[in-house]
Amino acid sequence: MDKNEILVRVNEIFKKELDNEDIKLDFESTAKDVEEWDSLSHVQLIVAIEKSFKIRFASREIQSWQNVGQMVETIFKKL
Amino acid sequence: MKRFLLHVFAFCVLIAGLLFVITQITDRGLRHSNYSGFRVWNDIRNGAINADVLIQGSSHSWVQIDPHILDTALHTDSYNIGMDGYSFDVQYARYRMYREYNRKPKMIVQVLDYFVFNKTTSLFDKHQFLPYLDNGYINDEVTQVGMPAYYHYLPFLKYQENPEYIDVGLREFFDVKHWPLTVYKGFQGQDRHWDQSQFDNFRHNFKYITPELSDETLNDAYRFLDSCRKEDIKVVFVFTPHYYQFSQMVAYKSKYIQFLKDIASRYGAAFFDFTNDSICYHKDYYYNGTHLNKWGATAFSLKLADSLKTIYK
Amino acid sequence: MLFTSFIFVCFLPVCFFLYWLLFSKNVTTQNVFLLIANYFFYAFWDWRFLFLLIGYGLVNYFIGLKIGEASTERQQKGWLWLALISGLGTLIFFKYTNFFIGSFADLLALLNIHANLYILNIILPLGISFYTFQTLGYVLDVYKGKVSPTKNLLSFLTYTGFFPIVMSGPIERSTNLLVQLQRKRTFDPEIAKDGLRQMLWGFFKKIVIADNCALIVDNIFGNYRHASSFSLLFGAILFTIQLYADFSGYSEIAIGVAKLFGFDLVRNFAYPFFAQNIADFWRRWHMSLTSWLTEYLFTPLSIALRDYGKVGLIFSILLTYIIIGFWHGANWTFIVFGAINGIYYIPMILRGRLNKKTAKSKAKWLPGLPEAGRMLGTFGLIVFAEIFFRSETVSDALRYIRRIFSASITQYRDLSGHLDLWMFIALMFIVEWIQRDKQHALQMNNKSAIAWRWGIYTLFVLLIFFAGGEQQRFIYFQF
Repeated sequence: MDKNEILVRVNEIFKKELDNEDIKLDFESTAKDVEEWDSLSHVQLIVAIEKSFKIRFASREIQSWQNVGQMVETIFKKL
Repeated sequence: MKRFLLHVFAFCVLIAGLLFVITQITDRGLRHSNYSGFRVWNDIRNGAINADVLIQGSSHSWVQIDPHILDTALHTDSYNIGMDGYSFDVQYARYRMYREYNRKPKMIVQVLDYFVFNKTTSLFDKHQFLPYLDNGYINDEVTQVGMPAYYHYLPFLKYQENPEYIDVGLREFFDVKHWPLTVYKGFQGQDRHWDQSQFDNFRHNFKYITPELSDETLNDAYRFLDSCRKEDIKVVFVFTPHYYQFSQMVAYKSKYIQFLKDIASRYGAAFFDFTNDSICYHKDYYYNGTHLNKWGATAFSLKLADSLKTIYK
Repeated sequence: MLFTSFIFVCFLPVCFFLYWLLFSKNVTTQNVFLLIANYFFYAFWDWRFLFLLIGYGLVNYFIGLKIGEASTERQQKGWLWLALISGLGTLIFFKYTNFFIGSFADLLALLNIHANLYILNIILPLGISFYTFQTLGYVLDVYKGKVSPTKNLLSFLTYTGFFPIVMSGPIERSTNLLVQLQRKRTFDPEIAKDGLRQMLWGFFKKIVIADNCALIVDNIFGNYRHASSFSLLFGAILFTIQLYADFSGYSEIAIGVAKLFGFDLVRNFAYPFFAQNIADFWRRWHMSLTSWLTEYLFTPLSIALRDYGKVGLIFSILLTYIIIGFWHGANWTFIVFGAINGIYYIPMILRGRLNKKTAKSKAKWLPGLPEAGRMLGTFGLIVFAEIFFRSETVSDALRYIRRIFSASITQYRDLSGHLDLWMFIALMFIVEWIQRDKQHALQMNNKSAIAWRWGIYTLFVLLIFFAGGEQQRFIYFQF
């Protein structure tokens, strides 16, 4: 799976978890760009991503992300 | 930067101008108002009194001596400038302001009580002075008692801290509302009745009362008596009746009254002592231990008029 | 010094002129001047605690550098712990010692041991809760690699003691304020004017609304055992409004003052009473504190507990809100206040509705009925929690609430008076509603006619002048 495919799959997870079909993520997206993405839904998103990719993040990894691109990077390394 | 500062400066000037106008309008409105105690101050300031018999003192003057009765009995023109809650130091300031705008009276009835020559320590009903702080006598005296001195230099602050008077002043100035007259020539008879439980409480709380004197206020009194002698104004000291059970609580009562009598005789003033008068035993005439209600005031004013007749030509 | 004191009215223009006219040569001169102004401002309250403030700055400056130099994660962690222990330890010592001693004695008493414990006479250094969090936030960011440690001691000390915010926030992040302190500021009249407008609105809220509410609220909470149920309800509502006007008013003044010196601080309030649910409310109320705790407490905690599903989330929320409550002071009332707010989230978490931010009100003029209902409902929840916030003890708060439902309904003087205060409160909410998409309620552009703008300024200046309540301290100065 390359990074673009990961992004597409992450985008689908976001749409489902945040219940919004209009979400369009790119590598530069941050929580500011997605209205429903806040500190509370953040955990739900991470759990859903971990389940879907069958991986496990370290806490410090999660907290170091500045944008979706960095998240995808971490996922890519774990696959 | 320059433009910014210019704007800020212009805005400050605008606000200062507005504050000045509001203060002026309020002063003027209140100087024509009957609201609260302003009427007497306004009469004094407008030189509208010019009484032949001037009655002054504390609340013992204000609620107990009816000028209407004195006028009828003595065929004269009298006026009561008694001030609720103030000792002679502030009474004297008001007298000096009175003389600035009114001609000299023939006779002054100086009402006495157990604290008349003490120092005034608190500003009772302080708003009454606000439109008159431009008067030097008043300003000097009330500033000593606690009126902020900066009111004199930054007059808009005086209403900033008492904004309800802006409301009254503006309404009077623009003829929106005029308050009705509540005093007759300064006198305000009290439509109240004796309250036994209040008096019992009072007796319980105080046990006894000690008259108080202050050298500073006494000096004011001596200056006042001296000037009256020089101007040939007859001064009469009147000690008004107190309810007898109150008088029983006063420590050094006869010594105190003797002290006042000595002052009177030293300056050639007459002295009428009503502290043992029959009115003192008439509970229905009082609303508390020291003040007569309006029925008591009528009875007392009639008696006082009889006494004054003996010396007033 | 108080923003509403005479001395501040003199201090501010003097600083403004010196800063822009004499010390504006470069960033160093600007910061030297600000540092002096900061310390003068703080020492004016109590010069002894100035050393504490300087100490905080120095310690965290060096820890930041050490974390940057450390070669292993172990060493970094060690320095981080040193910062946490020294910072939180100082805060706990000054703020919570007596609370722990008292609670320990209560616990012993429950076990029938009656100990005679000493209560220490500790003065709370003003602003300590705010500047502790501000400096710790910096160290945490350095540790997480979000910012590189600053080598510039001058700008760091200026950041720790920045006078507009040192007493009561907003709690600034190094990513915002420290960065701005490292560039030269140039004067922009539009920003300065905007700062003055924002200050004007802050003074209006503080002096006209909060100070007038204070007299009534103090009276009702002080004599709640004799008040009617109507006055108790009225007192709780009025206190909620007072707290908002007091603290948001303070924040607007602080942000406005900072604008005069060329700084853009974070927003602290975003019209919280227009929120339609509790989560939305807390995103708009004391935002600098909630976002701080969200980032450094709630997020790590909820991620660590993510395997426990909703239970983990509820636990994280409750703990975060209990700490928000406890941050306000050493009293069980604040803990209960926090816990109640945490509990308010539980139904939303259980329904799985958390991630649905309520859309912003689409209404052009007035909110629709369902929207208005949700706003009022949220307000009611907050009013209930604030009863604990304001009461002296938890049992006072419980008695207060019981009396709302049991005391006689009205007394004769309940409905008389206060009409003007309600008019001012209505004015505040109307202006804020109209301006709800702006950063602050008096934000205006120069397109509107000058007469209109100056008319509005004049109106509020005169209201501040003539309708202000007796001067009160800012409520948040005690926290």
